[in-house]
Amino acid sequence: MADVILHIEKSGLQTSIQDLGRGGVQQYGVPLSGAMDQASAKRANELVGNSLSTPVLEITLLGPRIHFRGNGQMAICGAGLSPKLNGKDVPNDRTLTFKDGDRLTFGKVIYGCRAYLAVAGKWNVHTWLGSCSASPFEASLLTPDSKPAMGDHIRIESKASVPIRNLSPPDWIAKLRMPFIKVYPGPEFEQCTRVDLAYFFSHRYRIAASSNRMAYRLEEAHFASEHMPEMISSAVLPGTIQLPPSGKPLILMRDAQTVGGYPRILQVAEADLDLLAQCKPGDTVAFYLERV
Amino acid sequence: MKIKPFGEAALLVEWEATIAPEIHQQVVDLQAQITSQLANGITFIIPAYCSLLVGFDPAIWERQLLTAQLRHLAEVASDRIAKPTRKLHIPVCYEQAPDREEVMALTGLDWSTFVEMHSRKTYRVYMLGFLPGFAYMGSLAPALNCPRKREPRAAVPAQSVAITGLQTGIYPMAAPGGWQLVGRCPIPIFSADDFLFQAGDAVQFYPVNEQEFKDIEQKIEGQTFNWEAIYG
Repeated sequence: MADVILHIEKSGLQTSIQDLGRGGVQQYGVPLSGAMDQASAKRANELVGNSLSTPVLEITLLGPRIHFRGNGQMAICGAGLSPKLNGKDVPNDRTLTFKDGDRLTFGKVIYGCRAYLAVAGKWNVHTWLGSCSASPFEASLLTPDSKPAMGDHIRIESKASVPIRNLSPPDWIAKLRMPFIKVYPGPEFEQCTRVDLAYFFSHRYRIAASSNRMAYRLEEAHFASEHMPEMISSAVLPGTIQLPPSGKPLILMRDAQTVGGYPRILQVAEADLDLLAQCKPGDTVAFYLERV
Repeated sequence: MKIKPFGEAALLVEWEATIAPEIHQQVVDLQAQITSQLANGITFIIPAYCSLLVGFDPAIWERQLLTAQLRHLAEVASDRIAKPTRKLHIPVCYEQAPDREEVMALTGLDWSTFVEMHSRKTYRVYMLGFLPGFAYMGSLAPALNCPRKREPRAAVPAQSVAITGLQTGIYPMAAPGGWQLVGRCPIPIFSADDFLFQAGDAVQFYPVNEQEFKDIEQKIEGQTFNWEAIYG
């Protein structure tokens, strides 16, 4: 089978190669990483007949411009970023065919924050500790091709085509109008005051502009923290809501460190971590508590 | 020992909240038991000073059952002779110390006394974190206690040996950081898929001069370095 080359003509705002992450090496201090919205990344790979752990391009708000060399199949899932093939609209959540010389571009943000581009075949990219996901540290050394820049080439060994499939839009799109994020009590939950918890769960919060793949911040959210005993560092996970001494909660995301010294007051449910990944700075979210 | 749920697919085992070798030994012993007895369905294990986070696949493990298993393994571990610790001997060039003046001022020690004291004690690796491969080691002699730098550095060079409070560590890669830099290690802290340290290791530093530092670097580059020597 011939190779397909993705020639990056414009990189976009924050385009990176991701897969399902670098699991099982957290004891060495290695962040999990991987697609922020795991379900959408898997869905895109499914549509082109790839194994679910095949790398994808994670595209954030402002998409790249990609020039294809060779023929193949692709799929775009996750955020609606107005994808166009040779200037003509193409849908999300569907197996698409591209030909040698075609150009993929993105336009206005219709919904969500992160789109995933899957391309059928085996991606010829660097692996570090079993994953192609961009390393949050020293990416240029550890995962050299994970943050494609203008002029870069991504080589993919193409494979036999699969029948074209068309999935109905995912149900999280409707939830984006008023995202309600399910959280569980974290290990230090009991240290929060009842007043703070009651207030937190009855208000909506705007996602701060400084939010990124490591952590989301919530504008104006505040918990009393002065009374909390100093903590000896312990493990954290993507979805852990930490409370630094500032009292402003921090939601750890996929690129977060593996240990931390701040009280872990809440833990976001796995499925809603994907939903949170589709909420962009400026969106407002609310939280509800459930016991494990 | 307490076991708490941590989200849908992890259990947090907690011991008495203190930084002490006896407590930490129980953490790494339980980690070793889990690794050898329960490989199936365990997705990750993160040891820290006095806690161990155990991730599991909910399709394979029911939470209550795993909680009971962990309790049982912790009892078994406490009955057995503790897992033998590796002891690593790590060369440090204390001549490459950007914060030498500040550390001497803060501790009131002259440099040769500082070097003697930092390299005399055997430290314990309590956990890895902050950066891939960064080992939190302790505890320093109280006389070496220094606060973090007022202004953190934007880029601490890779393999810098650093101290703060009663902790010491080596930066595996260039990164921003606020610890006081007291030396540099010629040995890389990780290679492609191998990490020099793991929780529970015993570590002792020994001083090398600039020439010895360069010799070790050259041997590593030429692949003639005797890695067994560090476990001597």
